[in-house]
Amino acid sequence: MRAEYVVGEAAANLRRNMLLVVGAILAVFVSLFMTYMALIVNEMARKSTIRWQEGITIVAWLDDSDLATHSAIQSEVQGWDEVKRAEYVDKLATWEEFQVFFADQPELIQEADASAMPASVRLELIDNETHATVVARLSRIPGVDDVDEATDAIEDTLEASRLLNTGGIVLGVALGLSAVVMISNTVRMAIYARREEIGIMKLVGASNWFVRTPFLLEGLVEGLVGGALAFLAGWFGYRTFISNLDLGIIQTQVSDSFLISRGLMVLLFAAAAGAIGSLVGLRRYLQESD
Amino acid sequence: MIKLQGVTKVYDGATVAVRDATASIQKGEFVFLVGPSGSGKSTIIHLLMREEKPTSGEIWVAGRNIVELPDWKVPYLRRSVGTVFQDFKLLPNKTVFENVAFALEVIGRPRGMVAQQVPKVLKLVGLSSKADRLPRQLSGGEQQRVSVARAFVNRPLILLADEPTGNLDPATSVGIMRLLDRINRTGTTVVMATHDHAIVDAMRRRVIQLERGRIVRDENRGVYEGGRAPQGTPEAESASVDETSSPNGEAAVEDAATDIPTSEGA
Repeated sequence: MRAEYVVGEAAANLRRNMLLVVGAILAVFVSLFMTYMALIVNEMARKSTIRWQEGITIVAWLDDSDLATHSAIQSEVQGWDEVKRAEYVDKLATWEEFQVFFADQPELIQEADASAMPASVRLELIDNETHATVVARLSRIPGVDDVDEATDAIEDTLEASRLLNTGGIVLGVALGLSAVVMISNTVRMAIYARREEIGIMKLVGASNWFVRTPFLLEGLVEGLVGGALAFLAGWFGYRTFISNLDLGIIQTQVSDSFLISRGLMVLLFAAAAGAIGSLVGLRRYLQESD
Repeated sequence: MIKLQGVTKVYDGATVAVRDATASIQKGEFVFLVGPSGSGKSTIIHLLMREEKPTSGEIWVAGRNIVELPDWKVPYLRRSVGTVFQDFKLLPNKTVFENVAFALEVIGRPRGMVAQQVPKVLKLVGLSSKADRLPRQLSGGEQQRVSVARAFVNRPLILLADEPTGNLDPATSVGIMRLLDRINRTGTTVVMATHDHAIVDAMRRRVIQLERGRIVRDENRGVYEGGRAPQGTPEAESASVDETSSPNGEAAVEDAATDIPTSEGA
């Protein structure tokens, strides 16, 4: 009887304020859709630039000579005037990188292993104007197989991903807050519409949770519906429009497991927004009642 | 069953609604709270159901100090205190049966108990044949019967009634009073705030009179106007002393409120 009652009341509340409820759901949807897309694009940027974080602009891939040779190369390069930092990355670390990079191509990972990975020395320069000179010098060192350098595109991608991170967080938080406010408003309206009934419930001794639960459920449903829509729209939007784009250097492939785990996070946020929204909506009523 | 000890209620730090009220009501008593509008009757009803907390003093209801009762326990206090108001407070879109059943449903009583108890109490208030009507299809007296049924269906220890006949004509009021009397005879303590002289004079029950928030008379088998009581008691006289605001009136009234032998034995 109790569960039946709670669900019935919540459904009645949702029907009664349809327009407001749709508004609240849309607010949750837009906010979380943007957050979800930002997470996906951010992941794309991360995968594309995984070797180029923290100022690294040149990677010198080494041949399979012994560790002593490798460290000799590393310390020599570290001594150069143009070099701010020369970081040695061994086979194992490269293997880990490789697995992240090709997470969505398990057959590739199956074929390879750590021993097939090249070690490398990665450079951060004091002044990027000296780029060409440094690359030329590196190529002449015995034991260096190949030299990769960050192109402008990678620099741009990194910059864009930083902007996206900040902008995405700011927008997501602002829209998330508005979603919470919208949900608390629908709950408040629902309470107002039923104030007479609530008054009588309290008069005859209904427990506070008995009175509150339908309104909590209402907010939760609004949040979860908005979150589920954001999940679906993000998933299909990504699969339809982004994943098969050819953006050259930018890696557009994001694994399903990433999409699902971040999607679940989005749902969790949606539920939290719903619960917080209804608690805020209930707050004034609670203060009055006790 | 009910005990007020030095209860004062001040609103917004200025308006004194109840001033140093002390009284004790035994199980099974029927008590009228009388006095003009604004004398503090309704405030006392609200204090007894913990709708409000006193500014100072102690209130005991059914063995519990309800001033110190934590908020989350208030619903459980309400389950042992039925309430009836002047404006009935019925839900307009529920039938008579549903209005009464609502009181049991929201405190989580099982369906079987609801189906069993509601017809019983509707029979008690004489509305068995109108169980399927909506409140707007009933007369004022009938609506108040529904409200009494709702207050009583959970068999509370105490029934609080705030001007229950305030919206009813005299003939209908008598019916409601018979009903409250019957409920009182089942052992339920009844406290009724009213300014209906005729009812108080006809019933001859304990009368607690309030004047600007102060208890000025507490008399067994009393009538509405203490001064015009046929058998003028000493208590009533001391109360009239207080009405003239003599400095010693306060102490005299406190004696009046606590030293009534019959109220202790009831």
